[in-house]
Amino acid sequence: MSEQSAVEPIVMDRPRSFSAQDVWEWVVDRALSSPLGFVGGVAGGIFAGSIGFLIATAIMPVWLWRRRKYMGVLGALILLASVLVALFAPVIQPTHVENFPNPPYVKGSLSAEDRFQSPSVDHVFGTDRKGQDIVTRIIYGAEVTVLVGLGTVIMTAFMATVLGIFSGYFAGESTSWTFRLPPWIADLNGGLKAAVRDPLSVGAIGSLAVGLVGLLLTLACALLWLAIATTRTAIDMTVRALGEIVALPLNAVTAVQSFLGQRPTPSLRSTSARIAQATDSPVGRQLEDATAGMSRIAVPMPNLDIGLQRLIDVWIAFPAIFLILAIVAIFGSGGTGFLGLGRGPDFGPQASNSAEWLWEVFPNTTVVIVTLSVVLAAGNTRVIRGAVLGIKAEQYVEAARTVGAPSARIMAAHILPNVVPVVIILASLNLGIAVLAEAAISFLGYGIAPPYPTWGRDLGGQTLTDAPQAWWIAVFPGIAITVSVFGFNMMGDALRDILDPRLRGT
Amino acid sequence: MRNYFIRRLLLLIPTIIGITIVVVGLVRLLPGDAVDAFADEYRGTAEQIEEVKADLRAQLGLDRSFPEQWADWFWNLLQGDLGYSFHGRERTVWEDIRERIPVTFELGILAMIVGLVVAMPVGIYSAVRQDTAGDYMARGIAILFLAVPSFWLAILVISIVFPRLGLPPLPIVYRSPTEDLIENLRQMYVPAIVLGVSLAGPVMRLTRAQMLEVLRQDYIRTARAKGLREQSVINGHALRNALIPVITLIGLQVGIVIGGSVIMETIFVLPGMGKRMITALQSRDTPVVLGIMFCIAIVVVAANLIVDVTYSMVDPRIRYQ
Repeated sequence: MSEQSAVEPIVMDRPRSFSAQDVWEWVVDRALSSPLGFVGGVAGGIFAGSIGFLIATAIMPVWLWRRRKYMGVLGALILLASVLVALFAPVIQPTHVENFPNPPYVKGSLSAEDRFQSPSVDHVFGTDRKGQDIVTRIIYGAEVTVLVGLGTVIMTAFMATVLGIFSGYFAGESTSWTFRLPPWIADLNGGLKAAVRDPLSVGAIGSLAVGLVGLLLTLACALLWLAIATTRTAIDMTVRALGEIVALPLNAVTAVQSFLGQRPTPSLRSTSARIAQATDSPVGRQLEDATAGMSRIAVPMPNLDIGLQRLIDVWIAFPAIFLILAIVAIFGSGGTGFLGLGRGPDFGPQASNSAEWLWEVFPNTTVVIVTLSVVLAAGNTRVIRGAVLGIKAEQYVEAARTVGAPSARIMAAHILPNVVPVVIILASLNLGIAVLAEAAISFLGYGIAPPYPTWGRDLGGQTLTDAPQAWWIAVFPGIAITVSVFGFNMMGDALRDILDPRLRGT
Repeated sequence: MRNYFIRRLLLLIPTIIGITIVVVGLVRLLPGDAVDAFADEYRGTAEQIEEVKADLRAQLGLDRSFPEQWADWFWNLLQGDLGYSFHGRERTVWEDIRERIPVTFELGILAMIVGLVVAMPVGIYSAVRQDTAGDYMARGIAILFLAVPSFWLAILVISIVFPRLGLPPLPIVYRSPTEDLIENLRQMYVPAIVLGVSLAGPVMRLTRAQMLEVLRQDYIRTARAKGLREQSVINGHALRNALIPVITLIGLQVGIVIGGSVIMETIFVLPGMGKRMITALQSRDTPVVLGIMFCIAIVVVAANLIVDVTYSMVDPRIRYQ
């Protein structure tokens, strides 16, 4: 916002009817107007995205049904069912309290008659070698599946979108690495060369001395500049934040007014604009004037795109499961837990359930989620970058640039809304991949800590030796994985067909 | 073409250096180290144990900083030396890995052959007979294959299908193909089929999609119009053009095959690189983990390079700008 517009009351030339794009641009402008607005915008965006995700899960079957994607409806129903099972696992599990000090999915007494029971009315899917009811374990296992699946998808989408947009937007932007070498480097260089020929010549000693003095001066200046810049930023941000807090109620009122399509009350708007102007860091401006000479150095701009792409080259060179095994081995997933949290308190079936969630399941799933999403995001960034390259050539981006919109606004207001379909498609395809990968890690014994059931872990351990006598141990958890991944894939296919028919079959 | 190839090779240098940094960095972060395991066997007071541990760390080079460890490892690597395992100095890490590479490669190549033999004909059939019952069945099975975890399939085959059909259990002791080919194949065919089936899904879907797209092109209509037999239209004109992206997919599946071999080798007790990786991670055997991660990354990078170069040879439009 320039100074002139801040002094005069701003006339809001908004059309009476708001399109989604208008609202989005308004949000972006607010978010980019100040640091606090930015933080608020990002936090609000993530929150709204998560809520939107839950709502989308609920209405997806209806939406796909109206688009006549019936296999997709089946998939969406499977996703909805697994979310519901995960949410209400303690309610729908059939074991209930008979097990008292232990949670329902762990059997306390190891009496011989409970072990390896074939499927019956009491134990619909039978029991395993510890006499644990398999259907209960599958129901509780849905919690981990859903948490890891959705968590991975959301984190991957976030990372891949941010990186992909940055990488694609700056692709080819600054291909030349413009290093402007300070003169003392030339002095040092010449001095060293001269010194090799004749160490005691006047030229060598002179050049070296000048170069060294230059180096020292540069170091001192750099330190001074760093100190000034840090102080300045700190003062600046404090002043701005204070102003933002004072102006917040006023801004909120005008925001609501303009959202409802009313003209904002001019006095309110101008007051808040005046506060914004007053707090637009007079300290900072003075300091900036003082340091203007130093900060105008041409900063060497490394090409963000090339750097990121090389990083991704390295990252996708490792097969996912090797990387995941190594990372999970680093951060630990066994009894000791994550960040030394270890095991928490342990009392009562329901209480111990929530306690386990907090102390064991949550930290462990966090490691698995972060690992999986880092691995998946590398590939997805490439895809989103490709989409951004296409969008960047569109005329509306060109137009926005021509009128001098800053890069941040172009990326957030024009490119982001247009990559959303690609992000949604990738997310729905990632869901199945994430669930399969989590099952594979748990199967190998590196996933969620043992007392808590996951489908993959229930297939690992001694399943191989138990299954010849008791087929149900090996069959049912596998069916649970297959059905859910099948459903997620079907939903992803349907979404892809609707949102981007060109990608069909990839 | 030559310029493209040279540029692609030059890009490998930062990638490989990056790989070594990531590998050494990851392994350096491993909690605890082999020294803790050694020190468990040592009896003495706490101070004595600490002293022994410090000695061992200095001996194994674990007490140095990350750049030092990286530089050391990289320098040795340039000389073709991956060091010794922490758990025995009778063999170098490279000898250890070299012994296991053929197992993983044999499994991977067999699995890819199985995958292609299943996927290609089915994909072509399904595209040529679009929207028939056979097409729907093939597509349904392909989607199902995508959803079935390969380890579950392996467990079902070993512990339920084999005993129920009265088949003899799979041999446990590994034999190399040069030693006893029949025994080796008896051991390999089940993991290869299980792994191949999980690769077949995407290949089949892509083949079908590409064939469908190519069959709509003008030159196919021309070929039919000039009276060629359907057989030679499909084989000579359509298939060749449809297979270009499929080749890429097959190349990209090298990473997936190697990843899947970890699970297959664990279940079927094959002494390959994946199995060694797991045992090395468990015993915190840093040099072995480093060596395996590095070798695998190099294989994947090489596969990607070959795919890119082949692709640009087959389809000049895709050449790097």
